[in-house]
Amino acid sequence: MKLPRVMLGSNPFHAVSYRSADERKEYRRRFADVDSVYRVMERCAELGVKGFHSYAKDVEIKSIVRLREKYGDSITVVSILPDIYGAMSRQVGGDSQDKNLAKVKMLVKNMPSLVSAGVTGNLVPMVDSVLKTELDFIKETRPDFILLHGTLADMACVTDQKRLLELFQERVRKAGAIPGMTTHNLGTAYRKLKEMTVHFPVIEAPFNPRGFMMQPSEEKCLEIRREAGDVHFIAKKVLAGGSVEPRSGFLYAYEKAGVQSTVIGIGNVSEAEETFAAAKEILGDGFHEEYDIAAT
Amino acid sequence: MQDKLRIAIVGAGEMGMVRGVMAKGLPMYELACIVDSRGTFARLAGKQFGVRHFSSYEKAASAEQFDAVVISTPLNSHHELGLKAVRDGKHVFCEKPLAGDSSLAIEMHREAAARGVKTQVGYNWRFHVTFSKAKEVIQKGVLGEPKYVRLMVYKSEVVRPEEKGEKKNREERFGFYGALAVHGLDLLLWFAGKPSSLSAQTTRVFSSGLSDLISAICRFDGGIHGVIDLGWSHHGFVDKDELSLHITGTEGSMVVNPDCIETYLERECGEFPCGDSLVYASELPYHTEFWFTHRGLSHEMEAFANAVIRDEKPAPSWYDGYLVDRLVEALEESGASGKPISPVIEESE
Repeated sequence: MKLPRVMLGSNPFHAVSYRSADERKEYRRRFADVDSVYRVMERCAELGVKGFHSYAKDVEIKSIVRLREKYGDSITVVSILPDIYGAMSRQVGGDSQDKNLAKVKMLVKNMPSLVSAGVTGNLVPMVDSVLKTELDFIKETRPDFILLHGTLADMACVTDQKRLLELFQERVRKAGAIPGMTTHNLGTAYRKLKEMTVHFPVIEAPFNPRGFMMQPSEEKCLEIRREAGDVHFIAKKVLAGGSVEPRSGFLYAYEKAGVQSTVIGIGNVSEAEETFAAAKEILGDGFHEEYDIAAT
Repeated sequence: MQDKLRIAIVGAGEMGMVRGVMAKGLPMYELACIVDSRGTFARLAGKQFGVRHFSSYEKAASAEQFDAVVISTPLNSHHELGLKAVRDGKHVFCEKPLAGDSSLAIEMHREAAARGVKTQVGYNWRFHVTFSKAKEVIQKGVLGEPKYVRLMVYKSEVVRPEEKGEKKNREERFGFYGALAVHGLDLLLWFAGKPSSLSAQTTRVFSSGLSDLISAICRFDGGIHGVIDLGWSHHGFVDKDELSLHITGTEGSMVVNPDCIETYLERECGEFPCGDSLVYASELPYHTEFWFTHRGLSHEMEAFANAVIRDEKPAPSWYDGYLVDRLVEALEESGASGKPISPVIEESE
C-alpha cells in the first residue's frame, strides 16, 4: 500500500475548528451535503493530492466513494475508526443528533456483551461488535489504511489493553487494509506500545512549530520521531489549529520533525490552492512521492 | 516526600472512567482501586484498569490503602461520601457541583478544613489555557482595575419537552447548572470575587425544578458590576461549550472563551499590544504527560496531585464549590421572588 507525502484531512468536514464557534457553525452549514465535501476533495485531487482521510461519517464516505469512481486506485484512502457517536447512532438506527438517546439504546442493544464484559472482564466481544459495524460502514470507500481513533488508542495504551489493540489490527488486516493509530499523547503512547510489544507501522500525531498538542513536550515528540525508524509518521495539527502559516507548518513537519507525511484539513477550494502551493514549494517533485508501507 | 498520589475512584460512570484513564496516564498518580455499587460496572472498570474493585467506599477503605479519593458519583451522594472520606483522613477530589446545596457544601468544607486534608472540586475550566492565561494577565493589571464582568453560557440541550424519566434525571443532576452553568459561575467568581447583591430573572421553559433561562445583574465584593446570562434552552447552540466572559477594566477590555482571548487595550501591557489583539488557545502552551478528552482536565488532575504531594493549597477548593452552590441558590431565590437579594456568604474559616 502507498502513503502519499501530502494528504487531505477531514476535520472541517465534520465541523472541527480550533478557532471559533462561528467557524464551526460555518463548517456545519457548508459541509452539510456530499457535493460540498466532494468539491473540496476533487479540487485537492486536481492539485495533485493523492491521500484522503475520512471518518466513518455518511457525507464523507459518499464523497470518497465518488472520488474513487473518478480516480480509482490512484488515490489512497485513510479511515479513522471508530466514529464513536456515529457508531452508536447507526447501531440503533437513530438520529445522530440525539446522542443521549442513541447512547442509551446502544447500551441496551449491547447489554449481553456488556454484561458478559462485566462478568468476565473481557471487553473484546463488545469492541469487536462496534468494529464490525464500522468496518462494514466504510467498506465501499475501499480504505487502504485504517487508523485507530486517538482517544481510544490513547486509552488502550495507558490501560495496557494489548488484546484490544491486536484485535483492531486483526480486523483491519482482515478487511484488506493496513492498521495504524492516531494519538494525542505520542510520548506516553509510544512508550506503552513498546512495553506491550505492539507495533503499528503507521502513527499519526501532532507536529507543528508551536508545539500545539505535542505531548508531553515538543522535544520528546521529536526524539520519538528520530528513534522510531520502523514507523511511518503522519503529522497532524501541522498548522496548529490554524495559527501557523502553511509554509511554516510544512517546513517544520518535513524538515525539523522529518515526518514522511502530513495531513491538513481544508475548509474551501482557495484554501486548498494556497496550502498545497506552499507544500509544493517546499517538497518540489517530492510532493508527488508515495511511500510503500508493509502491512506488518 | 511521596512522588505519587495513590487514589480510589468512587463511581465508574462516564467521568469516573475518564478520571481512571487519566490516573493511568499521569505519572503522579497510582490507581489503587475503583468503587461502584453496580457490580458489573465495578468489575468491568477494575478489569480495564487492572486494579481491585469494590461495591462500596467502606469496603474499599477497609481493604485497600490509598491517600485520596476521587468522587465521580451522582450529585446526591457527594455530601455523604465526601464527609466519610475526609473523616477517614483522605484527601478528596469531588466532581462539580460540590453538593448542589450550600448548607451541605459548607459543612463539607469545614469538616475537611478541621481534618487538615486537601480538597478540590472539578471546576476544570480554570485550567483551560485561555481562562488561566486571562486570569494571570488580569492579575498583573493588563486591564487596569476591573470594573465589569459579563458571563454568557448558552446551550441547546433542553429545547423540547422531555420524557418524564429524562427530565427527572436531569433535574437530579442540578439541571442546567449541573450540566455546564456552574463552570461559568465558578469562572465568574474566580474573576470577580464574592457576590454582594444580585437581581435575577429566571424562566422554566421545559424544566420544573430549576430554571432553563437565567439572567441577573450582580455587584461583587470588590465593587465589580456583573451580568449573568445563562440558558440551555437557546436554539442553535450546538457547540459543546458556548461559554464566554467579557471583562472591562479602566485600561482595556477582554473577551475570553475556550477558543481565544480577544483584547482591546488603551496602552501596551506586557505581551499585549495597544489596541486590538487576538490570541488563540492553540497559540498558548499546554503541555502534560497525558492529555485526554478535554482541554483543562490534565492540569486539573495534576494540580490536585501536586497540592497533596507538595503540600500546597488546592484550588478550586471546596470553599469555592460552596460559593458556586450559594450563588445558584441566590439566583433561583431572586428569580422566584422577583426581588433583589444580598446573599449571606459564610466565611471560609
